[in-house]
Amino acid sequence: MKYDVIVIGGGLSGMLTAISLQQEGKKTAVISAGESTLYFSTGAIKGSLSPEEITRLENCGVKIFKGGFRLTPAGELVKADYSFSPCSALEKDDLTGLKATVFNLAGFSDFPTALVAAGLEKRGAECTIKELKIKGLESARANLTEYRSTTIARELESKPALVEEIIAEVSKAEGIKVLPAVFYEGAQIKVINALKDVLFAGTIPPTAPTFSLSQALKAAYLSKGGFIFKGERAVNSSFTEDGLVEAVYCERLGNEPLKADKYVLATGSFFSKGLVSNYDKIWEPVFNLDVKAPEKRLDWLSSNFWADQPYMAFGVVTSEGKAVKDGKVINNLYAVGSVTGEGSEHKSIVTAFETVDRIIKEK
Amino acid sequence: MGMQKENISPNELEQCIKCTICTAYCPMVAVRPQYPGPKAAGPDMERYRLKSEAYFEETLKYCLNCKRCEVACPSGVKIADMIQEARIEYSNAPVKLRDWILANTDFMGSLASPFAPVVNAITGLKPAKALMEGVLKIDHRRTFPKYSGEKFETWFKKNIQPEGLEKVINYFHGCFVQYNYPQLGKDFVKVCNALGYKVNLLEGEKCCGVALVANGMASKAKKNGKNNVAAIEKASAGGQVKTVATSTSCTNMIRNEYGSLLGIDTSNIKEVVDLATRFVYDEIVNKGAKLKFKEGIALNLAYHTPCHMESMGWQVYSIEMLKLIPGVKLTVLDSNCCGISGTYGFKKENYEYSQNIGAALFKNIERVNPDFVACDCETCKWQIEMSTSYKVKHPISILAEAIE
Repeated sequence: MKYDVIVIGGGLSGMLTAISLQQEGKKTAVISAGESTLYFSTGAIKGSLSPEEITRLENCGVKIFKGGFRLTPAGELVKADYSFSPCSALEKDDLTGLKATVFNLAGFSDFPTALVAAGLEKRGAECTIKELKIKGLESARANLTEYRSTTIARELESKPALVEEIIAEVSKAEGIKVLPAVFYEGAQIKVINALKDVLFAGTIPPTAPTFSLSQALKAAYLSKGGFIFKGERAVNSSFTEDGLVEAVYCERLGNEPLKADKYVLATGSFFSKGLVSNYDKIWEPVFNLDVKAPEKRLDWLSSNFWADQPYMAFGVVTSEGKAVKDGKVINNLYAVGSVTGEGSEHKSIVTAFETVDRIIKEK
Repeated sequence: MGMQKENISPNELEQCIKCTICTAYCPMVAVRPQYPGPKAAGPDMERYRLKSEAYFEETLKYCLNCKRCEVACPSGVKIADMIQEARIEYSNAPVKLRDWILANTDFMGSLASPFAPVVNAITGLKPAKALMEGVLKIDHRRTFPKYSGEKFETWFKKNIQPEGLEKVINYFHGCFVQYNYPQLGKDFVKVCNALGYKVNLLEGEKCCGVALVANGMASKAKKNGKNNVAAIEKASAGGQVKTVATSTSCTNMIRNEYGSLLGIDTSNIKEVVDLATRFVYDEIVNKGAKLKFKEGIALNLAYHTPCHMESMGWQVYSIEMLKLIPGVKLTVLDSNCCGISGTYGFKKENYEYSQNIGAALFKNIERVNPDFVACDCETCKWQIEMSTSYKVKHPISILAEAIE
């Protein structure tokens, strides 16, 4: 099977690359081994985006909202420049003298209210915790362990009356009203419009805002004629004598070579198996690319559990966006997103668009 | 050193990090909260089941085995296999007469075929439907599949294939082609002949067993499976001759689940078992076979990806094969489960859930408004034809009609 560009990896960076190239008239395909780490994101983007980048995101089906201070499930207030979900956010993190009420839905255990309240109190707010008992949600609670943000969001999106009920209850409180982010876009906008000073706090994954985002990316790509090899893992590759990638091979397609003029590696970091490790080494499994990481295992980790771990920065070596193998640049293989190390929403966006520009310019 | 360097566990159990993405993608959880969902029913409970079978829950029977959890899993955990294996291993629920009837597709087919016109007329009648619902708990709203008066094998024996075909291919027709819809088998023979292949049937093909496993009759499925594996191996001339199936579920069962669920050794036959559209695509695109197409074809098609196709990852072959037909405009539908899952949706207690799961797909089909739907799965065909106003055709039939 032959394409202009094959993107390996269906996370944020891979999908943005593929959608943009498909839009430019390229015949592309995405090889996606399961869903991505996007589901672990609260939707906050840290880092600046140009107006052009925001337009390009919108062309990919991604809506971008204003940032501000946002609440993590651990009660931290984090400054985000932009957001994937429509959230009102605090403009400042000094909450001295303000009142806040932290609401949770009865039975929802992915939202640690005590931690969130403690975080707000640390910044000077006077906090109360309240439980919302919404009768209409009880059927979704039949299965307590699976009463998760995406389950609730689905129920609320299909039953608008329940959203009204939540709004009515929450509106009785004074000051800042904190709710878990258990809404898909339609319901969330309704809540924002109805309630002043509402603040959504991230929940434990899978998060609702990124579930909608992930669906929107797929829909945008398919509507432009792209093809996703879903649940497929690229496992091997072959090279020409000139050191160009000739084909990629996948787990379930067996001997079928997937060929393209250009390839984009967007396989993510360790969690998505873009990088793999055992006790001896760290490697990139599809092309065996050069990886920047210390040789000794003890240097991969920090003994402080809470510190940023060194391995989070590991990634494949790149030179002007292109991947490197045995010290030589591979001229038709690019790398974007977390597989290049120090992954973030912002990095995924920026590296994806840079690579799209390079591919278009190179012809 | 005796240190284990790689993380090894059955069905990749140890790879599960409890991210719950599988449950977010489970079509059953979305409509039936009583089902614990793939994460809980799979890796979570598996840890307990490994300690004691007392932790097995019969609610696992709600699983459709659509495998969409496995497709969504970022960590490669074989969640659906884990759930089905647990059902096979621990379920003590007695097999109901209704389930026995639904699962034994070959037995029921051979019983019904000789009386097809009568059986078809009766299963379509209101009193019979009421009786089936009352006695057997087969939902009265379900359209029962029609039986064919002439079995596929009977037709095949009478049919004379063109002279001078040098290459040989074996055909695993499955129960649907044999008893319900021989036309698909005839279409497959036509396409193969046009590609220069003479079609043979296996000696003593038995039902692949997919419905038997789903209805708690794994030991019979294993017996059938061993028989089929031996027949495929015997007919393979030492790995030279492929056995091709038109049904995605039969193909998935033989290639993947005989090994993973039933513990049958398939190492000698796995690579010779192929899906019809994959075989045809390979012949045309990679091996350069030429087909003579009729002129003036203008078809607006929508392709529905069956769950087992999604799980095998081979829909690309059906899609690309259809695109080879000049004059075909193809829309690939958002991949959603149609809800029938073989025999699942026939059962009275499942009917509503089954239709709710399929609702998104039905709506999408109406929106695309194709001439008809293309799909490789027989039970998806029943479900879509019953639940929408659109006809469903197998890609092989569409191709057969498009060639001279």
